[in-house]
Amino acid sequence: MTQRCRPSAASPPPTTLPRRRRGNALIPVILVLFMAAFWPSHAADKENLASFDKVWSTIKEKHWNLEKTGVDWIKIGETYRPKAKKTSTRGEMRKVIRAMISELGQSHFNVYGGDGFATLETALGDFTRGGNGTLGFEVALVDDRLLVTRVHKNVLDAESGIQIGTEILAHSGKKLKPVIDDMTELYGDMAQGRLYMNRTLNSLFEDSPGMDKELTTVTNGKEQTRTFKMHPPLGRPKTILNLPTVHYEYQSEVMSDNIGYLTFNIFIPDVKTQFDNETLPSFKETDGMIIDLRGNGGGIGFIAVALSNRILSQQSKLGTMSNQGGTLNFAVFPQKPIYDKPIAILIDGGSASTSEIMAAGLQDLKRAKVFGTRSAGAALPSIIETLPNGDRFQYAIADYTSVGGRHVEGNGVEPDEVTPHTATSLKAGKDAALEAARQWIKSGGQL
Amino acid sequence: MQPKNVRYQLTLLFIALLTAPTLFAGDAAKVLDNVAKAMGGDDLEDVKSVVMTGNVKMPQQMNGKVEFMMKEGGMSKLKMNLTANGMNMVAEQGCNGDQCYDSNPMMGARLLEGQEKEQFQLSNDLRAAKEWRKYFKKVDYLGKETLNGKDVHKIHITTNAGIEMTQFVDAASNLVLKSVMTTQGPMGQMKVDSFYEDYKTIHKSIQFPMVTRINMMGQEVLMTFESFEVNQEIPDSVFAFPPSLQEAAGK
Repeated sequence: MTQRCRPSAASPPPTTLPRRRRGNALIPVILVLFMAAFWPSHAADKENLASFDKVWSTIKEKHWNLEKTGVDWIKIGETYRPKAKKTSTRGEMRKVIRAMISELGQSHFNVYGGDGFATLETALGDFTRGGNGTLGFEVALVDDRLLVTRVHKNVLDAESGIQIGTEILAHSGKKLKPVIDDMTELYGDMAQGRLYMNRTLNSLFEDSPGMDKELTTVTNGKEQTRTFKMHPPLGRPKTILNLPTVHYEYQSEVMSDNIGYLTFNIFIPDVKTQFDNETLPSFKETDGMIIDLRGNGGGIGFIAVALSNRILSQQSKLGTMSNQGGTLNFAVFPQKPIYDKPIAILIDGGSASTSEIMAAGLQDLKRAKVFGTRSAGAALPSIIETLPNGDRFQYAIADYTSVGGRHVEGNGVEPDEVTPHTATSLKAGKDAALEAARQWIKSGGQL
Repeated sequence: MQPKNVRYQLTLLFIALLTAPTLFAGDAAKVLDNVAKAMGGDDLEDVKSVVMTGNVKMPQQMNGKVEFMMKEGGMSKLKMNLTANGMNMVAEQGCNGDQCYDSNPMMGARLLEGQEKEQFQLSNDLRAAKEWRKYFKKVDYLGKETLNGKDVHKIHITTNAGIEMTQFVDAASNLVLKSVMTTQGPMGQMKVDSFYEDYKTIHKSIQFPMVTRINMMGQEVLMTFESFEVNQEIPDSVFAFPPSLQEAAGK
């Protein structure tokens, strides 16, 4: 069993860090986040200008609908290129490129300095060489402290000294604060930064199964340093389509207050099968259902539709994806039996892609109330490319709007009731989002 | 993930089937009449049923077997057995002469309506190439151009259902080489480019493209037919709606 602020077990979302090869390519991919070991701090003018041209031409060629932005991109290029020519440093060039990108008025495009990535990559190497093993817990940055938010009891017992609310101070003899500061600085204002933060923090505690890891922790005011062994990954290995193997976890249970709780870590066809054959029958007499999508990085998009057609009684759609080829509706065609009790959805910064499509759609349709913290804002794949001067250019190749017309890309889904973890609640072993969702359902689940 | 919606792909396959035998007033009408002749002309009247089997390749290394049956009276059924790493799925679409449906295990079953239904029904008419005036509301000749080294007539078509498409007709063979279509339905609006290759005689003088490549939203679907049987006996029961759909449809 797993002890968590949530009452059931599901492993962390598959990280998309390429070096660990655990990523699910169906969810937004961080292509080159940690590739480079060295980038020149001062690029030649030629490389800088090539970087400007690369950004301009990429947007021209790959933006899903430049015309609709009302921006004359050719003219924009003619306006900014002379300014780009006058720059002499990467920093100056970034300012020009950012100003040009800002003309689009869309949040999902940006350019970042490459140095920060290289610094973080080096720092991460002090803690992990990458692997799919787990120490049996998940962490989050709560009130500026790295706290355990979830414990897998089948990996860590009570004697481990790790419990919900435990603070991790050091790892492999090194303090974690500097690397966390690096992450915070790098991801702070980045689109999808919450997602990257979530995944990178947890990647600190992933490595090859069997390895020993020394952690310094504080639990209930008591500091201790202990060695832990990396455990093989949790969940069933699954290979879907042409994607790397992922470890799939799915759990549903009826809690003591007759509320159904469902969680899974990736949207794959198995979810639909288990939902129809196991969850819906067992939840038939419940007073409501909580779907915990925290940490769920997404998966196959139409699985969100496949689930929603059992909880929506009218033909509708969750939202619309637009790219250069047209628009694709996430259309829902209700299929009996329909679950018609209140539904709460839990999300956080690790909830991305299909998780956001489902949460935003059901929220807009007034079919679910959303609790937790704002989601990643990564409904569709975005690409981060290395520019000729070593900087990184992040861009989207499609847009997603919820049925209510909200742009999820870069913005995320805002919960109806914001219920973040706090150090106090974690120390008490409580999950603010889950508790709020249960309370809402118990009080009738009115929207 | 990019959504890999089988229903769309099924629809596209039907569009491909639809657009191959059906075409294109003034000059446009002449071109369309020539297409009708090239596709089989009066021999199309002789076709009572068709059964086709082949393979389909989809993105994400999803491959499958495809079986398509058509019968006089507006009956048809397309069944695809798709397999991929970790996934197996049987998806189908069909018409019983009156209503049309779409069904797959992930999305469930639903009746097709509006433009989707009309697209499908059009594809069921074995004589549509010959009787194109029955289906096309407006046709325009856009001129001649070159496609892959061949001179082609470019025809714009608006169907009764409101589908807008452009056909590229080989000036030499009068066979359709490409169509560009904007489809509209509950699943959205998208531009679909289809390329028809490897025309072969399937019965008397009737021509059919053995290979169809479909490009949609940045993805490609390749459909290759390997076998055809014309006028074999097919019981009407083959085209009955699946029970799950009848329930979903409230029948």
